[in-house]
Amino acid sequence: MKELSFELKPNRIYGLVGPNGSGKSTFVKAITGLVKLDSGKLFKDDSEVSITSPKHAWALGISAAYQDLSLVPNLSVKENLTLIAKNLARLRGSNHASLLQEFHIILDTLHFTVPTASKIRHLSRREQQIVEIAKALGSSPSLLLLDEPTSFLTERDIDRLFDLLKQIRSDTTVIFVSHRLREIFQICDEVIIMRDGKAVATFDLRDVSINELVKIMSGGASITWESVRTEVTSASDAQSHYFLAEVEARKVNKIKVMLQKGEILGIAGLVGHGQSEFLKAIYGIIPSRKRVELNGKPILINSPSEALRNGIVYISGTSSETTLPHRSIRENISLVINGLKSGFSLANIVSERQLASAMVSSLGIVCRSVDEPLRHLSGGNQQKCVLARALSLAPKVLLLDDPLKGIDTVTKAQFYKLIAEAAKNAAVLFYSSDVEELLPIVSRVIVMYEGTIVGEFKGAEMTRENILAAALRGDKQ
Amino acid sequence: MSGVRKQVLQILPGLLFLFLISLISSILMPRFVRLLPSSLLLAIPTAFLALAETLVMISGEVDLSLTGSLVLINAVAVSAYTDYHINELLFLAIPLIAGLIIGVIHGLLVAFGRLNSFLVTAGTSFAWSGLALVILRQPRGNVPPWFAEVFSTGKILGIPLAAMFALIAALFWLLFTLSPLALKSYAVGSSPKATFSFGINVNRVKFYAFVLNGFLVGVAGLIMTGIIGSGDPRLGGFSTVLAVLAALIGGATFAGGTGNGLGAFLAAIGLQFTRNLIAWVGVAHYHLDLFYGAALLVLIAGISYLRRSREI
Repeated sequence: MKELSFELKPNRIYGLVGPNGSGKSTFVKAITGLVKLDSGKLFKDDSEVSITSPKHAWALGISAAYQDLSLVPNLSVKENLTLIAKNLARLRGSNHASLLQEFHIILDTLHFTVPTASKIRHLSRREQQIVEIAKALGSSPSLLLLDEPTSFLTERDIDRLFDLLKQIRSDTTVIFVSHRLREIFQICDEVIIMRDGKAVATFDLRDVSINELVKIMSGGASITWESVRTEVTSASDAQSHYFLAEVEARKVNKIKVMLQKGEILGIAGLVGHGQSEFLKAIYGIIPSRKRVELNGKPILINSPSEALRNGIVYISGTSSETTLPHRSIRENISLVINGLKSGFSLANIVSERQLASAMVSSLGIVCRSVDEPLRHLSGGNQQKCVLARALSLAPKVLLLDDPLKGIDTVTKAQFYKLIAEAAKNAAVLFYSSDVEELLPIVSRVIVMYEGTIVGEFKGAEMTRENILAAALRGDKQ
Repeated sequence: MSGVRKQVLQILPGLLFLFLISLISSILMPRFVRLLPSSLLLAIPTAFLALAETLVMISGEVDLSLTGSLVLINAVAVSAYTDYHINELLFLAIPLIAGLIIGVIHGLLVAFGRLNSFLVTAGTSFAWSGLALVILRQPRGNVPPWFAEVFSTGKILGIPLAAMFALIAALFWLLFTLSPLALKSYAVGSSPKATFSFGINVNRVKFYAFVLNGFLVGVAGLIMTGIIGSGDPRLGGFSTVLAVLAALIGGATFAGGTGNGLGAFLAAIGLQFTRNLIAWVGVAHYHLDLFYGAALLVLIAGISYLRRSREI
C-alpha cells in the first residue's frame, strides 16, 4: 500500500474494489491495527486517532471480518466469541453477557445452525466465514470493514448479509471489499477504486457502469469479456471419450462424467454439495471407490503422485492447502515437477528459475523476484503461482477446485485465456462456487446437489437462472 | 455443564493410563497397595512439573529447564537454611519465591525478548544447574527437622501428604480453568495471530504462563527437598522429559492450544509407577533405563495411534 487518502461519510456503504495486490487487504489490516502504518494519519470525527494494535481499533468501534479469517481454530465458536466479548467489555466498560447475546443474534440471523460448542476447525469454510462476520458485526461498530466476506457464502447467505447491512447502516459506516462487481452495485452507495496501493477514484454508483469500473481498475486497458469457449462435441453424444471418471466417496454419491479432449466441463451447485470432494477423490487426496479411464485405458489412482504421473493435475482455490508460504515463488512453482523426480536427483535451480521467470511474465505475477517468499504476494498472485505450477506440467486432465476465489476481474480474464489454452490438449473439470465464473468458459455444466448430479446444461439452456434453479431445487426437472 | 463434561473428557487419557498401570501393578506386585502412599509421594514432584509444563505448552511454548530449575530451587532452599540459618517458615517460602523468579526470567525472555522458548529454556537449564553446583558444590546440607519428619512419616495431621498435594494440584488447576487466563492461553497457543486481532496482548498471556509455571516448579522443588531432606546438585534426572511426556499424554501438543494439567499430573504419576513396575519385575538395575525407554516408546506410539484414529 502506498498512498491512500479518502474521507468516509457516516451511514454509507462503500465498496472497495481493485485488482489483486492493489492493497485492499493491507488497507483493512492497517485500519484495524494488524499491520503498522509506515506513515499516515487516521481521523475520526475530525480528531486524529492512533491505531497501533487491534485493541485500539476495537476501543474506537472499528471492527473487521478479515479475508484470511482471524478465529482461533482450536477453540469453539462460543469460546472465540466469549474471548472477544470479554475483552471488548473491558475496553468499553460494558457488560460482556449482552455483547455475547448480540453475537448470537447475528449468528441466528445469518442462519448459523451448527452448535456453538463446535470447534472452529471442524466447521466448513462457509460456517467459519459466518462466525467471522458475526464477530465483526456483533460488536456494533461505528466503522465496519468486510474483506471479501461473500467468497464462501451461498446466494441465500449473501441476501441475508445484505439485509443485515441495510439494517445497521443507520449507525454504521461500512467498507465492503469484493471482487464481485454485481454485489458492489447491489449493496453499496459509493465505490472506491484502488490500484497499485493507491485510491485512484471514488464514484457514486449511480454515475458509473460495470464496464467503466472494470476499465478504471485495469488501468484503462480494455478487457475482452467475450467468450473464450471452445465448441467440441460433448462426450455424452460422441461414441468414444477421452477421459472418464466414476466416483463414490464421502459426500459423493456415484458420479460419472465423460469428457472429450479439449472440453471444459463446469461443475456448479451450492457450496458443500460434494463438488470439491469429487475432484479431490479423482486426484486421490481423499479415499474413494472409483473408475478412471484416460484415452480409453483404465488407470489406477490411489494417491496424488499416481494422479500426477498420469498427467492429472489438481488446483485448489484454498491456497493454504497447496502452497508453502515461507518458500520462494520459484520453489513453489517447481515443487511438483521436483516431486515427480526420483529422490536422489538434484534440483536444477537454473532451469527452475527460467521456468519461474517465464511463468511470472506470462501470467503477470506481481513480484520483486522469483526468489521472494510466496507469502509476500497478494492472495490473487499466490493463486497465479499455483496455476503456474499446474501449467508447467502440461496436464492431460486439469481439475480446478474453485480456483478463482478472491481473484479480481482483470486477473480472471487472464486465467480464462490460460485455461482455454491448456484445454486444447487436455480435459478440464472446473468447479466454481460462483456460476458467473463458469459461463464464459465452459462448454457444458453439471449441477451437483448432495453428492449427485441433478442437472446438465449446455448451449442456450446454460444460463445462470437455469443452473441456480437446479442447484436450489435439488431435483431433476 | 458442558465445561465440566469437557474437563472430564480431557482428564480421561491421563486417568485411564494411571488406572491401567496401577491395575497391572497390583496384580503383578503384591506389595503395590501397601507401598502406594510412599510411591505416590515420590511421584508428586514430577507430577507438579508435568502440570507446570502443561501450562506453557498450552500457550504454545515449551520449558526444557525443569530439571535445572528444580536443582537450583533445592540448592537455594537448603543453602539458605544450612549456611544462613534463616527462619524455618521463610524456608518454606524460599522455593516458591525462587520458582517465581525463574518463571519471571523465562517469561521476560520469551514473551518480551521475543526469543524461542525452546532455546531460552535449553540455555537456562544448564545455567540453573551450574548455579546450583556453585551454591552447593556437593550433596550436603539439611532441612528443618520437623519438615524432614513430616515427609518421612508421609502424613500431616493424619492426612496422607500425597493426597494433600494431589488436592492442591486439582485446586490449582480448577482455579486456572476458571480464570480468564485459561481461555486466553488456549487461544494464544492455538492461533497467536487471531488472538492478537481480538485485541488481546499475546505476550502478556505467555508471560503469565511462565510465571505460573515457575511457581509450580517451586512447589515441586519444595516437595523434592522434603523428600530427600538435603541438597543435591545432581538431582532431577530425566524429570524434564517425563514432564513433557506426561503433558503430551494429558492432551498437550507441541503446536500449542491444547492440554489438560490434571490429566498430565495423573499421567506423570503413571509414568513413575511404570518405572517402579519394570524395576520390580526383576530387570537388573543397569538395564532399567533401557527397558523403561522401550516401554515409553511403545506408550508414545500407542497414544499417537489412538489420537490419529480419533481424528478420522
